[in-house]
Amino acid sequence: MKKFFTIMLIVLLVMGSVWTAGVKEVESKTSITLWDQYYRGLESEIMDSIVKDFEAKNPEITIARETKTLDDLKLVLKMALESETGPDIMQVNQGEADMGAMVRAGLLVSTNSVARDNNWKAKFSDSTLKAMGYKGDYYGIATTAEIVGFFYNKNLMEKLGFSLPKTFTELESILEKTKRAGYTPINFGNLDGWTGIHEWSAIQHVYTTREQIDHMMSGEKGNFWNIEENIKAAETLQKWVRNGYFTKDFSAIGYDDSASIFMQGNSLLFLTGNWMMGELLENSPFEVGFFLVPAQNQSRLKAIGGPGIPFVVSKKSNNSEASIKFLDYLASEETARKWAENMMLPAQSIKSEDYLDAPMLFREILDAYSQADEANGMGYFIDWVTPTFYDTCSAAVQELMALNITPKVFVQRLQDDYDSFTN
Amino acid sequence: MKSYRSLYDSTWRGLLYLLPGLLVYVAFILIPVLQTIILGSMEWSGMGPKKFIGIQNYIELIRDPIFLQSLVNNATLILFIMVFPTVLGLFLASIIELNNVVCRKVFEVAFFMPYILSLVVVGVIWRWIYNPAFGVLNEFLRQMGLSSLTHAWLGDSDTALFSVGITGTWVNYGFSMVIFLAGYSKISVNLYDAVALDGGNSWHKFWYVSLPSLTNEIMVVSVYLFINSLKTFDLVYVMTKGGPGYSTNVLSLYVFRNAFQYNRNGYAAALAVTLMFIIFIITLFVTRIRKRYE
Repeated sequence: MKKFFTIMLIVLLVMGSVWTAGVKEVESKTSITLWDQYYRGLESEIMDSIVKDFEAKNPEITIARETKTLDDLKLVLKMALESETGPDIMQVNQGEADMGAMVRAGLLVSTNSVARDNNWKAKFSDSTLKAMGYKGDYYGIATTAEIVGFFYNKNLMEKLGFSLPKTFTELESILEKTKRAGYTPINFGNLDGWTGIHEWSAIQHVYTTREQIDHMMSGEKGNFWNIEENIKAAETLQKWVRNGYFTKDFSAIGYDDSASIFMQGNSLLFLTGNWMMGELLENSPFEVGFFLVPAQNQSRLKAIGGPGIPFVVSKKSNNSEASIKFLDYLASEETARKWAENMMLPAQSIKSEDYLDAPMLFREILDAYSQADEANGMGYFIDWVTPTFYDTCSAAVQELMALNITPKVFVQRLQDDYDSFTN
Repeated sequence: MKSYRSLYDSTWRGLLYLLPGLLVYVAFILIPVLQTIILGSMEWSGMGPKKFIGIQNYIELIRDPIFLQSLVNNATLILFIMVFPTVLGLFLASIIELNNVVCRKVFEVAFFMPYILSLVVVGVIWRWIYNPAFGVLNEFLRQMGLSSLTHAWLGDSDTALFSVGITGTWVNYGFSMVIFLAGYSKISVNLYDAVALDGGNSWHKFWYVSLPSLTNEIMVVSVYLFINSLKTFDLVYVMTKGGPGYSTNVLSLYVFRNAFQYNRNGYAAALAVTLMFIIFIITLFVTRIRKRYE
């Protein structure tokens, strides 16, 4: 019996010391909580691998990652941050409704000094870097990017004898010839509303100057939206509707359905973002290419797009230093390569020549992104300029394209929405 | 003889039995409603301090064209989600009940089926039906040689609200039919026999026996569907997102957008309070009518 108790005592002592050592090790590590919206299969795997690599390089830091859909993230984040139950690092959408509101409430850590010290400017273009922050200050790092342009049916393009348009006039000539040949020039569905914003804004981007569009998105007071270039872009869009350049009954077709219609092969162009690439590569029965909406004046070449949803650090975090270290890692070339190797567009500009094994469509998207980035032509998703702009603009574009309102009324509505927020 | 204790034996014991229910009601209904009413007089972005602004939100609401348009749209939807399903449900229940329809259970289940589907699923199905490129409706019209009638149903501001409304009718008529069938089961067969002896037909049976006997069911169905029509959200959100323009925008959607997209929680609360007030007034009005009729 005595022997038994002695053995039990030894076992307990050993277990106790192992447990204490474990606790000490955990205590010596900094644990960060991360909430992101990369919940889909491949995206999530890439994020996991980024986190794993970061932990390997920084053994004193561990990251507990939690994924949510963007809608869920938006719903819980503000309450969680205020109640101090939120994460250390999270993804927050740019724009007034999310990042703007959080900055004003003093909930986010500014990364201005890190950006300066670690030379983020060398890794991202000015416009990309600016788009990750708020009103000129840096708050976060996006690891992926998005760009909107024309996907096109290469077989049909070849059949009709067209080459890629270099100017806006050439583009309009292609549209007219395609229509005459009995095909739909631009595949489009606007039942969901937001697609119409892209349709107008893509034209707006190549009609306006860099300065004009920066002013429109500045959040400063001013008559920036009610300008001749925006009215002309709206006139062009209405002209395209009258000329029948869009899919018949586009107003009642949803975005996903419009993608299916494009894959039927009777339309030449499909204006949307690079997020559609995977689906087109997988399901399209013909070869698909990608090019940016051309500008008549090359100095005005700009594309809707920019960085994805930035990762930011909460001011309520007790581990802000370690969190910022992770943000800096997200800005590295190493992270960019991880996305690109999986055919996803990284926020950093990379060369398509480094990915010769990737499908041609992905390389064309990389080229288009670099082209816009190098020309400092990375534009904006204009819907986030005010919290209400998405709804105002999508409703106004629907009415503009139904020819129910004039271009002047349309532009005035955008200006009114902007004024109601900035005044 | 064994005696049973009743709730009425002691007031305090009775109240004690009611306490758990009362606590749940206070915690999940009364306090949130009161908080919403208070929030309706505040300006609050969802973060930071709240600012008291009195009735400013309500003044703005009266001047807000989107609110007014949403109100008109909700009023139109009352026709499709309350009136039509009530009439159609009563009609179908009467046909099934008064004519001894063969396989009545099959019809009952088939008509009731749409009601048990999730509204999101219903919205997706009808979006497909209305799709101008490959939807069933336009395809049917084409096959019938009526190509000129094909239309962008959900994409035209003149037809979008009606199209959503018809979906609402489709969802709800089965519910009212089942309630009316239950009401029919309590009507004595003797009353119908008496009408038959007097030479009355099915119409007479319906008009002189069924309709007066189903008054309570009609009231219940009307009030329930009326509230449903003002609460409409899922169908509009899935089918049109309130577009084209604001032609199908409804109050609940506008509340949601103000609260969760525009960060205007105070204004959203004011909208919700107004919606609650409208429902309360009309429900009170209908209840009064019912009592007078009884």
